[in-house]
Amino acid sequence: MPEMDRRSLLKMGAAAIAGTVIGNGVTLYTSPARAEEGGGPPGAAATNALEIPSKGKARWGMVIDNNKCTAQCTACTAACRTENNVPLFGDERYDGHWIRKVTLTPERGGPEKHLPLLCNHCDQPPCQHVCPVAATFTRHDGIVMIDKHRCIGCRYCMIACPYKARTFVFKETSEWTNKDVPKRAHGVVEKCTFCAHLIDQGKIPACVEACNKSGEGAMIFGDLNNPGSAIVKYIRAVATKGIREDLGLEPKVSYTGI
Amino acid sequence: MKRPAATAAALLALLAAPLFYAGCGNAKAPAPQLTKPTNATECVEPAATMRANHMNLLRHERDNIVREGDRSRKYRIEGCAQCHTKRAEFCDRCHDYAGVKPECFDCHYLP
Repeated sequence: MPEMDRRSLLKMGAAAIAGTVIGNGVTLYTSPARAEEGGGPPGAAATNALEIPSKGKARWGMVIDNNKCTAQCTACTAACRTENNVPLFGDERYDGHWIRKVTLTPERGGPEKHLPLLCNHCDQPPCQHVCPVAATFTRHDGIVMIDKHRCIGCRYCMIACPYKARTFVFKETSEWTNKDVPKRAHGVVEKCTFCAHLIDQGKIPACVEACNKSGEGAMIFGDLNNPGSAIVKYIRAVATKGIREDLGLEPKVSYTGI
Repeated sequence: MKRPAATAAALLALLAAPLFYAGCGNAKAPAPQLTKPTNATECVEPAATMRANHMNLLRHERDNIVREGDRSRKYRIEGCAQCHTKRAEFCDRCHDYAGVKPECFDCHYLP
């Protein structure tokens, strides 16, 4: 019965490479041992010291409810600067920005919109595609990051990014506002990391925490692969929209009320 | 120039003085005095290995930590700071002695 043999062989093969879909067309294969452990989100208690948070099944995303975001509030940007040592020199030529408050003016009239704009951590990141030294990379949990050890400061990624989420470090800060996070040396490009260092500890990004604390609660952060998470429930209930979705970059930050 | 031979000898002696001085005196620079940590007696590897290879260990593990997000790695620059709490009395003294200028501390905070 050669056909049966072939079928059983294929079944075995499928079972051996049981993987986790972490994005469109992106599958994270896990070894059988790790699959048995469950590999929960970083928030779960790490029973195994070898468990790597970024190699779990999570795929981080954010929804910003722009109806709740007010024009004057800068809690998220201020928190980001403090958390990640993002400098503000008072000279716009040198200032770094990981998250900015942007004003949108509708062409056909209507009220202005103020929305926080940060790195969208695209599933198809153009910044990563153009990087000549592979300094920009996507982590297993979908966070697009820059390896500043490797970055040569060519700034192709800044041109490629449609969100203007990246800034070049023209000038270094002299002091750390948060000593747990490295600052950047002159000559590299910096951008939002979704506070990966906090996510790995099971916390949420500084901007989201600040937004919740300020009482606005406009930012929802969570695991897009977890059907029970608040962000997935929200996306299923409310129509959300990414900025420049027409570019097909599949951003993981989406908005309502824009 | 009344006595050219004597003048030439004096000039030669002056020029050669550093050579004699280096040869006669103790040419070694004083070895750096390091303040050892008080909360631990051993590093993650034997001291001789760390002295020779700490930069390679750190650089090798760096990619795994940054790109894989694996913060449980053994050789991390944050790990150094857990015991070596005064950079000026440990890291800097040896780096100054060896004449190397690592760029690690441009971004990473070590007290």
